[in-house]
Amino acid sequence: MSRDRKRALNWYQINDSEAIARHLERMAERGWLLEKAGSTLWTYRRGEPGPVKYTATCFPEASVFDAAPTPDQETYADYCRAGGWELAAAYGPLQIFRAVTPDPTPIETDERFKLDAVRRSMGKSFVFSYGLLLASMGLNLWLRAESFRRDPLEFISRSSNLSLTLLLAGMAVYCGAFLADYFIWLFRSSRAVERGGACARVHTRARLWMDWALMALCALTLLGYLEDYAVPGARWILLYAFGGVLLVLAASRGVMGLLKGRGCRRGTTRTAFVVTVAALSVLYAASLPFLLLGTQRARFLRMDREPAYVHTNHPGSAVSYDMEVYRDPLPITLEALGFEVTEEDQCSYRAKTDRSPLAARTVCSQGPAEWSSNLPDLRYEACRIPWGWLRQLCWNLTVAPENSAAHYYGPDYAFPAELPEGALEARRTENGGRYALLDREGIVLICGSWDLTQAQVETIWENARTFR
Amino acid sequence: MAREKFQTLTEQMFYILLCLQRECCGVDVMARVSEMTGGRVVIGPGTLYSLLESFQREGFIAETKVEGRRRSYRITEAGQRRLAEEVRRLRRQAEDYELFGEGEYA
Repeated sequence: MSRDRKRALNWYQINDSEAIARHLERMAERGWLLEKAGSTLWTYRRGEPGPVKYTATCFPEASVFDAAPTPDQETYADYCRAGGWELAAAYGPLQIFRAVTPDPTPIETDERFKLDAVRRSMGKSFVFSYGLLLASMGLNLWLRAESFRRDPLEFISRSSNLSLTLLLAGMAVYCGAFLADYFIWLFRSSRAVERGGACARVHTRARLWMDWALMALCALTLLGYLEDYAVPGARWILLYAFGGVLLVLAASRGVMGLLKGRGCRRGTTRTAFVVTVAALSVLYAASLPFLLLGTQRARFLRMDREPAYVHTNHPGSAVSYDMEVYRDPLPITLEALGFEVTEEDQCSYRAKTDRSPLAARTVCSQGPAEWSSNLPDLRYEACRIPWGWLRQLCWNLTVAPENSAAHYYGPDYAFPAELPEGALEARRTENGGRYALLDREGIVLICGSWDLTQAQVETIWENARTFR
Repeated sequence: MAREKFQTLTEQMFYILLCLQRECCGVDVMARVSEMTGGRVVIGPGTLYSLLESFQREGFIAETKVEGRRRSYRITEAGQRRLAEEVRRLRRQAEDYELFGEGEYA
């Protein structure tokens, strides 16, 4: 942008005509005159600083998909010109006028028509889209709740999960509050107008605060993800994941702008826009797993840290596959449990820790990378949850009979096991391969691909607790 | 909203219909009404546009001429009837005032 032009975010809704006028008048005092209005960005051009009177109205018949002002819109602008106003900018139903005479006639002199125009304009654009967004947030939150129910320990120990849930909840509250605020405004305005009064005032400041809060939540979510995925490669994927949404929006708007520039009809532009948004969203959503798998397979970008080395099974054959081998120190190993581990097993020792404000969880796993090895697999996770109520909730969900599918393998936790020392509660599966233990600090889950003995469980329990 | 809205004409509605006894371009209605009322009744351009649309939809006025973006209108018989009805209502109101406002009830 040159020095004679600048762009700024638009924070106002179309029913907030007084705030829009006040804002534009302040800008004009500083020498910036509105040149173009968009959905999010408004363009200003440099002018002589001084008082300029603005007013904003709604023209419900206008659409953001119109290539040029419709004949009706032009007639409307002609009437306003006769009343002493010139059209400064328009975006969809929002029409912004600048006074060209010292004492122009107010554009709306009947509050009933003003309210009707706002109601129709809002219903066509904001109410529909915010309603859709609210429904989508509701669905997403339900999916997040399901994810928490199925694996509460993983859910609460990852900052990205928590911040994304917070963002979704924040957006749901934002949409709900927006709709509630609008409908309350509509109700109060209708009542006031019926009694011969004026439309109610809009809560501009509260709405601005809500916008800021939502932006802060977006930033918090991004930080949460960056904390969880600290590997440089993962950050590129995250950038794509977040930036992709903006790319879809920008591309769809680009298509809309192109068609409008070519003078296409409103219906054509709208259809093309909706199809573009839908197609690009599907493409974007589908591209993420492919990108993750592809980059990991090509070892170009990694969502995870580098292994110690990669072991190739059946090298040179058609069924050849790679296994990553880690050499992390583990609190308890198969060797300590009495198994004999040799170099030929190509055993991988892996520990991964996640931390969030609610919990810290370390998942340890050990198993052979070599296909012909007879060594069993061992996995255990130790989660520390400082809050008692959350610990109990997570425990109840973890050992809930319907929840077993979320875990490694084996049947439900059905039989109480003998309590190892320090444990408040314990469960084991029928085949004895899986244990869940609760103490005053958190939860430990143990999973072995063999029937664990009581002594082995107690050894893992003791070591995993201290490691947490 | 429209039918309910025209049960009683507001001053602005009344003067628009009155003004359109003669063919008039929409954009000139504001000035003519202001002239007719000595500036007492002001019709905003947005309100004028909405009212002309509503009146046309209700059949109270009809478009008579379109010259480029200038559209002219004239009151219809239905509009005349509605205007006359409103005048009768206003007269009755005035008579009631004379009877009760200045008479024994005052």
